[in-house]
Amino acid sequence: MNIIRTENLTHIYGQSTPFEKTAVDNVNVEINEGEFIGVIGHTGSGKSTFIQHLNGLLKPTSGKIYFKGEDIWQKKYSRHKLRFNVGLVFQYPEYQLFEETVEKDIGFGPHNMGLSESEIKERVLWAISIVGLDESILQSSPFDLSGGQKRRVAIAGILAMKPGVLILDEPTAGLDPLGRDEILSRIEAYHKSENATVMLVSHNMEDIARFSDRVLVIQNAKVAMFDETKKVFAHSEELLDMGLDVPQITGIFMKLRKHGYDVDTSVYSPVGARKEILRYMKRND
Amino acid sequence: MIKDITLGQYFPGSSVLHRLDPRMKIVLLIIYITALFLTHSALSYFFMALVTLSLILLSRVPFKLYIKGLKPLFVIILFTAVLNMFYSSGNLICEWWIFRITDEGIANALRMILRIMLLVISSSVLTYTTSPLMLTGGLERLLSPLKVIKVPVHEFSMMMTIALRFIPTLMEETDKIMSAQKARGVDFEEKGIVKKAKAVIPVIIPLFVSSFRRADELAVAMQCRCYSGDNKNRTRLIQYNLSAKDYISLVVVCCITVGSILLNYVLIFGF
Ligand SMILES: Nc1ncnc2c1ncn2[C@@H]1O[C@H](COP(=O)(O)OP(=O)(O)OP(=O)(O)O)[C@@H](O)[C@H]1O
Ligand SMILES: [Mg+2]
Repeated sequence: MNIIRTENLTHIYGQSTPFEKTAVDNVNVEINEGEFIGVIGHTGSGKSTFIQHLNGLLKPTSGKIYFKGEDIWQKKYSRHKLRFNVGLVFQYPEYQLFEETVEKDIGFGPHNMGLSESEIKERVLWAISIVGLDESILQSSPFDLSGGQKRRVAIAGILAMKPGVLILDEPTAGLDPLGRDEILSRIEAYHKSENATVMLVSHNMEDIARFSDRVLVIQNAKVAMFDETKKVFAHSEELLDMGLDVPQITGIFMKLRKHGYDVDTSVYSPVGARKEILRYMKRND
Repeated sequence: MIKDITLGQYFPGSSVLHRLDPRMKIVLLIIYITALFLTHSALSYFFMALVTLSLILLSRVPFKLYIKGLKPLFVIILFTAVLNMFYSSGNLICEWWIFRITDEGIANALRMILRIMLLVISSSVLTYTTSPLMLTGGLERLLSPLKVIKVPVHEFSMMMTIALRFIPTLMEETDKIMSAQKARGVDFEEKGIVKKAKAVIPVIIPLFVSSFRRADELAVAMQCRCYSGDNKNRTRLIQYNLSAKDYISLVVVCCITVGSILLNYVLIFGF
């Protein structure tokens, strides 16, 4: 069953001013429960604007958003409660830190949910282990941390609410490669163990290729493609035309093809690459 | 919500008013406001209202933006009008307890309403058609003679430029932080003063932190580009040159002023 569905979703910033800008244009997508969705698109294509509609932070100029079949902008619908179910980690979330200690800051969301002190404590410890921070950091001020640590604390702040749908807007931009892998792997583990739906916005195609079941490609405020990862990366040429990258392995296979080797260019993972090469060699024996 | 504040906002365009020299526009506004204060008779007010209306049309800025700019001042305008109504001499129209309403009083109240409205609208014409950068640049050059008596005109205008420049940024940032905190379950629509005040803290603190950081970064960036305050050797990217349309507009505004003064002597029913 779909957990989130949008219907002709359109968002126009600064309507009827000279600054008018259509950031989301007539988007219809369905996201199923337990899916891992990758969202890609070049800078300014409207990814951040789109995802802010999914937990009711932005009101659509026109169109509808359904969460578990219910229109989230209908009268009396509690968008406040919706936000505990659809957790959104903003782009550069470290700016949202404000409490005296890391512990209080991570516990802010659960506190707003009305959980008991012991439950909050438990969730804070759980969240901090997921983002790979040490417990000794809990009593320090969030403002004394390094940029990467702040980012992790901010992500933990959303994770602590244990949302059924987790949306992350470029969570790893500016982190070191090791930290990036670590965080994403833990998020995938969360996705698997809790059957959580995850949407990951990223400019890093390797990450998208590695984790996503389906990929949503946004181009000029519109949905350009929304399909299984393999099928999307089969359109590598189009992706490159949109100014997007393709996974390195896909790039290599495209080059191989250009040099006259008849290989499948929709390969995007090392495992797939191995299979494809073996297949090719067997055929040409 | 926060974006509804229009005061001092620039509305990009290419109308005649947008293209006038900012220095000239400031001078013209001062002349125009003086004329407004000299206006007294009904006919003269009518004339000035017509002129202001044509300014609005000339600026090609949507009419409803001017109305939006007037809205927050509604209470003040009404209050001044009522005060004026009661503190005037003239022929008594009606009397109740200590309140006396006279014909002169009503005329005064109407004058006050019109005067404030025209004042706000004409100032808005300036801010809507002149970018903040042009505005402070023009002001700096108009005031530059004061440098002789050691008034820090340049520093003053730089401060103003920076402040104006960062108003939209701050608003954007407030919006962003509010969204981020809403995503963590802060409910800004909740009723009750205590709850409302509590909801403000998660917004104010990050806003302060980022403002200080921003100020710091800006200072460093300016130093890196060798900014050293008012420097005689410094040249400007945009040179202002008065052109024919600037002189024509000066003549037109002077004529309007003289016209409005003369019209003060033409009375209709004694007003
Ligand atoms: N608050 C706003 N007011 C007006 N315009 C906005 C606002 N936020 C975004 N926009 C505009 O809407 C468009 C889409 O912006 P958005 O932030 O959704 O892009 P994005 O796909 O997330 O880009 P990036 O990859 O750089 O994060 C951009 O052209 C941007 O200028
Ligand atoms: Mg974005």
